[in-house]
Amino acid sequence: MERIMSSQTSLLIGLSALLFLVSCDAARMASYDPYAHQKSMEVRMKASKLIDKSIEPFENHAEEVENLLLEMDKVKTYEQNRSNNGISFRMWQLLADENRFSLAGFIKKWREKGRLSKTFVEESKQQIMEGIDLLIWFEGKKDAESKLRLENFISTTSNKFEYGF
Amino acid sequence: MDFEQTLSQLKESLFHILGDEYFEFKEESKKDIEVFINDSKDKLERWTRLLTEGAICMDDYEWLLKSQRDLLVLTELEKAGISKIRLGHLKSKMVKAMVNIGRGLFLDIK
Repeated sequence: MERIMSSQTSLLIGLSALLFLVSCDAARMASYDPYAHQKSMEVRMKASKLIDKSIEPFENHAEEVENLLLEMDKVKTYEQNRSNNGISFRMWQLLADENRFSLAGFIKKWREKGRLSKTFVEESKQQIMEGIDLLIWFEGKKDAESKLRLENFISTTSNKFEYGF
Repeated sequence: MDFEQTLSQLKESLFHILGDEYFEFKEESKKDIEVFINDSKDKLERWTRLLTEGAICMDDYEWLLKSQRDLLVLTELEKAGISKIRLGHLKSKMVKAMVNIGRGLFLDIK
């Protein structure tokens, strides 16, 4: 009996050690955040409409552009302040950096050129939307992980009440 | 137009154009450029055709190429995130396994 207990205890200690290892920073991920998800979808919708207008003079839409840039900046700052959220933040950084070649970079080009050609707008819009979709899809993936964590928490808590550990 | 030949020339040019800033979180290598070309082949072909037809200018063409590189950076980041999520799933399964073992141990002692 003692030998059985000893092997079971060793197994438990072994699993605990393994759990400790995977609990390190490398395995941590921010939980799903409906606000961040919603805001990302809003930016996508506004960006899609605005990109279509870039065949017109920039000055006609300067205010809309400023509003979108401000909104992107707010979301980026929000993502930056969520713990264990480095990947989503880096994705937002790229999207909002006017020296890269995504949404903010597109706006910079529009501002510099005054207006853009229809063909270029169609091609670049596809690129930008693909990038934003990756970001939205990634946040959605965190939802599944959060549900699993919650399920696990409930299961652990109910065991605690039932068995006292 | 011999697109394969154009692609080969493009590949050579990309080593120079993308040079220093290619994939900031990876070691720059020929393999990365090959992956970039293969993953982007359809788009590169379309953009090259649009350039030769005069539908887009060289500046637009370069912007689109760089946007494809940035899109691949986003894809790499997303892949890294999914790996973390998978590791999170593994952790959750391990917690469940530990609880079950602990429960068995507790009932045995009882």
